[in-house]
Amino acid sequence: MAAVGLYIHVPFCLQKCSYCDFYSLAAGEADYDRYVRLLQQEASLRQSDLPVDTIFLGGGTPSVLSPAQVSAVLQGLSRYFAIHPDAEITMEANPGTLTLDKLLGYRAAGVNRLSLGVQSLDESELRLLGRLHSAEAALDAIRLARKAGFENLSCDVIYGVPGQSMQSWQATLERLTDLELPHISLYSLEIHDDTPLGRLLQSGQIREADEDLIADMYSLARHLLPERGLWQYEISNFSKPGWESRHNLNYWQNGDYVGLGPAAWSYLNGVRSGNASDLNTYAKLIARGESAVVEREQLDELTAEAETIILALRTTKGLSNASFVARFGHPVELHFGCIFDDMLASGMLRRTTEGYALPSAIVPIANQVFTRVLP
Amino acid sequence: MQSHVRNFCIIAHIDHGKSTLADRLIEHTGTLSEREMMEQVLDSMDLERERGITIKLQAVRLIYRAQDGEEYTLNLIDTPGHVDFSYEVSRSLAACEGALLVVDAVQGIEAQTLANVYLALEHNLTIIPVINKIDLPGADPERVKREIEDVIGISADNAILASAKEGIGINEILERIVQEVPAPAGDPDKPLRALIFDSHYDDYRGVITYIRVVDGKIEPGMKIRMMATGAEFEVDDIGVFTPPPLRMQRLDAGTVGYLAASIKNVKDTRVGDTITAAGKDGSKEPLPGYKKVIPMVYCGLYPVETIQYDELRTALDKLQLNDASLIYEPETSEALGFGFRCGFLGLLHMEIVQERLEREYNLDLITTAPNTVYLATLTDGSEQLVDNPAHLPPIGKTEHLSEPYVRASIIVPSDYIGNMMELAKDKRGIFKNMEYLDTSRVVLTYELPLSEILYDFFDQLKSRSKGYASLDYEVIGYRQSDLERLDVMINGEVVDALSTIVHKDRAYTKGRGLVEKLRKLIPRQMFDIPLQAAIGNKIIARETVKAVRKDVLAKCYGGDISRKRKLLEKQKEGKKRMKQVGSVEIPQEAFMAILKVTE
Repeated sequence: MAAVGLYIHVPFCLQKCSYCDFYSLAAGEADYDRYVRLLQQEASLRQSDLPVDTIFLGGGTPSVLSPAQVSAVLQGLSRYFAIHPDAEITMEANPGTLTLDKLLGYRAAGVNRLSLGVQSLDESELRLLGRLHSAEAALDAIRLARKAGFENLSCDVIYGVPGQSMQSWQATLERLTDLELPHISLYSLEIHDDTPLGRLLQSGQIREADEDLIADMYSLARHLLPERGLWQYEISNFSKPGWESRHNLNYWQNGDYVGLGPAAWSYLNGVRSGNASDLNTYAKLIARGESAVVEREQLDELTAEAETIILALRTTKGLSNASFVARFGHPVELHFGCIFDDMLASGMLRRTTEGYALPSAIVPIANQVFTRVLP
Repeated sequence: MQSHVRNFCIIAHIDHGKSTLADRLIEHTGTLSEREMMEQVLDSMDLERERGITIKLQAVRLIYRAQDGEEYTLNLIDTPGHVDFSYEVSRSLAACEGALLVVDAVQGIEAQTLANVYLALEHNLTIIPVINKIDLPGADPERVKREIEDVIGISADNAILASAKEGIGINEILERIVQEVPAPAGDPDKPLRALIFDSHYDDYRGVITYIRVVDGKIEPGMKIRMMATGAEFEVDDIGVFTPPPLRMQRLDAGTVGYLAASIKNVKDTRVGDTITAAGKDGSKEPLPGYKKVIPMVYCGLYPVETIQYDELRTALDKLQLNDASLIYEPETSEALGFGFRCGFLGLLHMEIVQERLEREYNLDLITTAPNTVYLATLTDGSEQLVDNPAHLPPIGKTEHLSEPYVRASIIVPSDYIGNMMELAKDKRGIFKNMEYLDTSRVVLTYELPLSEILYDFFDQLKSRSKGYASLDYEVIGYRQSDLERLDVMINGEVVDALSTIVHKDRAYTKGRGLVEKLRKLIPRQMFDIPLQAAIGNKIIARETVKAVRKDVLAKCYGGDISRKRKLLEKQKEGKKRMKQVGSVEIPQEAFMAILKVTE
């Protein structure tokens, strides 16, 4: 039986970041306890003997929960799912919410990988992004995490922030890599209309970063990080060999996963389904012993194939012919042969020993390939 | 009874209240109940309501009991006010004996009103001046009366003072129509003669023609013949507009109405043709038709999706029926494939046609930049009309080129005379005359190339006069000009659909501006795209659309996959709407870029 991933959505934040358009809310201890109980109830409703080899607590800000609450969540999961003893258990954490005690507690609860939302080490960028912590606090959090026993550590950083310079981007990357982190994720800032940043943009108080500057920043990272031992294994992700995020690799292999909590998504047997995103609606459904799923999408075969290709091409390893055949019963060329030939000829795609991958120069403009793959 | 019929129209400048007045007349005669009244009843096209203008003429029958106790049938034929649609105006005038001349009590006479009044005088119509909006604070009916007398030369002593909005003067208008507009003069005992003044296509009933019965009568079941085309039909049904069509048993001489006769072929009916009885009862003498209009503005219309070519042809056929001034011919472009070269009366007409094709026929179109018809005099002495810049004869074989000139009248408050003169000079205008309408307003007369009016002339006119200037123009003929063709090369290939003809003195700035505009409009693609403007073999401007360097969705994890896929689908849709020319994707707006080049 193929292993599945478990995703737990924690919909709370102490304060919403200025660029965030995800569902999250500010809440108090009582809400957290109630949420943990609901999550346990949902786990019991969706129990399964599918083997689970990764768990990811994402958000929101999972680190608003206390170690005891996280422990209760993980114990609840182990009651209803077949969790592998070596499972990768990741938790996202905001540096502004961490203390050594808390970190020790999470570690003791079973969390073995930490993903820290550092975002930047430049104070003015952090302020514009609406982050609660300073650069120093972020660096402290990394040190404390290590002290608490988290070797498997990742940091998120953002580029393309209005006003960000090449120098500050390079400094952020260098200071982080000086700490010899095993994993780093880079995101180019997207400004959505209905966010504080979106409003600043509309009112002309900030200007979007220049496309060429953003391209240069990405390019810099793609050179600098491998020089420091972090290899690019996906469009936005870099790690020391063997320290890739197993949970995320499962997404890019278009593997199955179960999502619990409000606004969490699942993908099982070709059906993608989404839970109610509003905490109250979610609570009402779960309390009644019903499924929290309110959105469901059954992919037709061509779309499923296209998604599989697109997700796999995000990784450096690329698409494996063998696993495509195993999944769909026919080679990828059956439906995509013409497009692939065309793209091979124009250098948008390359062959690998196992299948296909994006040439390095195409990675920054991968949408040009992806839009052609979509039916 | 013919003696109790009055056919009239309303002449007014845009915004002077014509549609509101028509609404009041309909309301006042009880033709529509208040419940049925929608603002601007006569402007039935969505486009007309949105833009607040009249494009198509419409006809409506009003039943009015006059003060003499008798009941009269008043046929109101609506007319468009914009300069582009003067052809429609002259058609409606031919169906009338009288006209209400509506002038805004604040703004006074505008250039377009003048042009239409002259048309009405040519048709020997009785003109009843109405000074509208007298309720407005700035109203000055006495000044407007003097203007009417001085400028048009008709008496305005007894002009009706009205406010369509407030319902003032409506009774007097109706009475005066009955008293002053002559009853139609046709002979009910002569063989049938009916003038087709408009038509449209109905999917179920075929062509519906709008007719004015001049002599004789027409009834359902009657066999009829179109005198110009010779086609014969049996009348299915006839009726009048109330404004909804109302079936009638007979249309007598002098009346205006519609006729349906299962006419399936659009080409069998022609606006301006005369309908008579088939066989020996038919008349031998057709009514004087309309002057054939000569389109002065041409552009290419191409389907974005090549498979829509046939649909576009059918749509044009049907639209032409409703819009006789539209002409088109198939043409091929190396860049755009199969499409049509279409001729229009002016820019607004072009925009309206394009919008109607897209809305009413669900087509996705690429419109190339409009141009006038040029006249090439060849070295062998022969002459050739050129309606597509790409087809200009080679320079070596051309003696010289000529372009159409217009005489433009601009009516403007005297404060803006300087601005107007500057604008006209920028547009190669030749000053002819300046005349004061009163102490504060003047008519400026200029001669200038029609091609200059095609660009941003009207917008400039409005913006440099704070909206006060009005414009009318008529084509006065061809004049030799120093013209040359400006070509655009994208990725090293000439894109024929982007060629334009420009004056030599402007070639450099136009070329420079055009490639700059194109650089902004064409999205970055997989490779650098050189854009060049050329005159003959000489490159006069160059820009580059740099290769795309960043086009990737950063985050993509479990919860995001559907959302991200939808973003990619949207991006793909956007690409589909672009035209692939060689290996370059060009958005629709790029083909109109030259219009946006300011100097």
